[in-house]
Amino acid sequence: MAAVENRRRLFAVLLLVASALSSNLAYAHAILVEASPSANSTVAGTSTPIKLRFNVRIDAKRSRLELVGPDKTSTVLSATQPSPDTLQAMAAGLKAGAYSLRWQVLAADGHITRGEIPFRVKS
Amino acid sequence: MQIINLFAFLSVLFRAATIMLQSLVLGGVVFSGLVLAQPGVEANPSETKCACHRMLRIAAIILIVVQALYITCEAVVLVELSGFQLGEITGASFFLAGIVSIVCGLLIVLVPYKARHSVWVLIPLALGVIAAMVATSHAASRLESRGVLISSTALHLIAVGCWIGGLPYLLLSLRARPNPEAALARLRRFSSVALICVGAIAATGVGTCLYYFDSWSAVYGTAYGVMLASKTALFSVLLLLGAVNRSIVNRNRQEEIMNRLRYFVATEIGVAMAVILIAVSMTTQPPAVDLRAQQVDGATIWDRMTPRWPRFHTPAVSELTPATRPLDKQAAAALPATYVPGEKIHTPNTPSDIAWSEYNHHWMGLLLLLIGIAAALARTGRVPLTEQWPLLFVLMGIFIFLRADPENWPLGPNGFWESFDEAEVLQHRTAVLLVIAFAVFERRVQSGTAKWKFAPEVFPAVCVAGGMLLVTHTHSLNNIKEELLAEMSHIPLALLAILAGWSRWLQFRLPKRDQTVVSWVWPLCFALMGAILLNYREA
Repeated sequence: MAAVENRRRLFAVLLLVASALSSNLAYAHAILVEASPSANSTVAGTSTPIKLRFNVRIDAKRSRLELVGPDKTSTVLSATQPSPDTLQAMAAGLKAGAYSLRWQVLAADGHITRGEIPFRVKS
Repeated sequence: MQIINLFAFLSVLFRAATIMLQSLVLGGVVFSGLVLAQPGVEANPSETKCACHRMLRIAAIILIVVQALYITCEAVVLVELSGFQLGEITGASFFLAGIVSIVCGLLIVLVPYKARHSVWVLIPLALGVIAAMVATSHAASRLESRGVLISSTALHLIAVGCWIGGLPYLLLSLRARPNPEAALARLRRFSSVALICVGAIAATGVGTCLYYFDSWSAVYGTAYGVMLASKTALFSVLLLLGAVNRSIVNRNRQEEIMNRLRYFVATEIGVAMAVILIAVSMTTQPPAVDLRAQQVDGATIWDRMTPRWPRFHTPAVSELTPATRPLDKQAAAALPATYVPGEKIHTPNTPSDIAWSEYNHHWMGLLLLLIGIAAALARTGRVPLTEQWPLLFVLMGIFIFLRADPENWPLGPNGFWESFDEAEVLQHRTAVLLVIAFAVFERRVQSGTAKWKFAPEVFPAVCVAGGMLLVTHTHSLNNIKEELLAEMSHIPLALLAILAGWSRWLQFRLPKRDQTVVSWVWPLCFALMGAILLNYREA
């Protein structure tokens, strides 16, 4: 009887190990569903509004937008949250060249997703 | 492995454990309150109650520890990745939900269970644990129909907890060998609770799907849909096991209850764990309704799945893309629109990469098909050589070790230890160890030379572990269409592995006369896995 119990215990341990090994997961991450400027688009002028909409509510306080300029210097943008799924900011002082908007958001479950939107500015 | 990846990995592990533990806590409360609270049918009911209460307390303590570790890991990941201060993170919803779960868990540990009406204190506390989980679910983060989705998800988790979480307590109470009347009364009571829960799970599951799927094509055209289909398939297996158990209870034979039912209940717990892991895995993907533009159409799926002759010719290692090049060295490579920090950014596979991978999968398929056929022949006892079938797994282990990660030792430039920096390599190497352990133990079990008392458990455990590994493998957000097409072959493999493991376990456990069906199930599962892999394609 004790042997049977030991076997069961071992089996339970093996199952836990299985669960542990199998847990190479991520969770309810936010994905970008709409972006302005859109990826690989061209905008004109020295400033442009930025608006990113996600598929779920995001924690704007713990999210960030970063603009990487043609000279590879990056600027953290001050973002607002007009609705629970949207981040909004204004990119100013733009010069002609290739820019990249790097975003990072925190979803309700505590997990981060990131992305990059390349766009060009024409003078 | 970078420390940040390790923490991210651990946080995910703790999350999966949390979902199982919350079910165990709620199941324990409901079992103690509704099923055990039936006076007058057992000589010494307090012994069973004490055992169940002990299990409930242990589950609550582990839940507290796991939750504390989870929020710690998450906080470390956030601080490292985002540069936030710890103080800024404490207001995040996952942190607050974790604290609620810990407080509820602590109170569950501290409640004096012997006090009258203690169940009415325990139920709100267990529901508090469930509420904390719901607060960080897909439902809570939706914009539309949030109230309905939160209610539906909460009800779904409560029903899972009452049914699946109650099963270990049922098993525990049966192991105490109560008198026949008590056992039967308890089983009937639990059976009624389980029936209500099954109805609630089905209703809330269907209801939630109406929000997360906006078309039939989303069911087969997204990874979320494919995982839902696999969850439904395993749920059907659970229902079948539940029906078998109910028929045993209705036949009312004490010997049958002790010799068959408890093993079916244990199998039910194991299959339920797989269902929970699939449910957790589903949350790694956005709901199908969010992927309208990224669904895979039926013609593409048909093209990929149409049977073709397997590939048994391999390209040279020198023709492959270096798979582990660091992200910052990818010249001019733009980051994808969405990705998870730490995940491997996909670069398009060359025809040689695809040929290499398909060759690997096809040889594995051939080996599994041979294993299934040999195991079935060995079952007949007419072909003695086929009893050596476990040794085919050794070949499989060597094959995985040599070819799964060609950029690493012994085929590639990366050294043996250096290669462990990649989580995927670590997974493959773990798989090699599991497969070889599988072969050695099973051969010794077959030959009767296994003296170690746990040896017969290794085969089922490794099968189930392998299946669970596949069910919950990493889901990338930066290559959603390819993820789905890979999922379509991996998920059936996972389900078959899990079924093979549990049918083999039942074969060991059930009385001789009941083994016939289950002893054919697992060889068939292996043969089917082989057939699926022989048709695996990446383009």
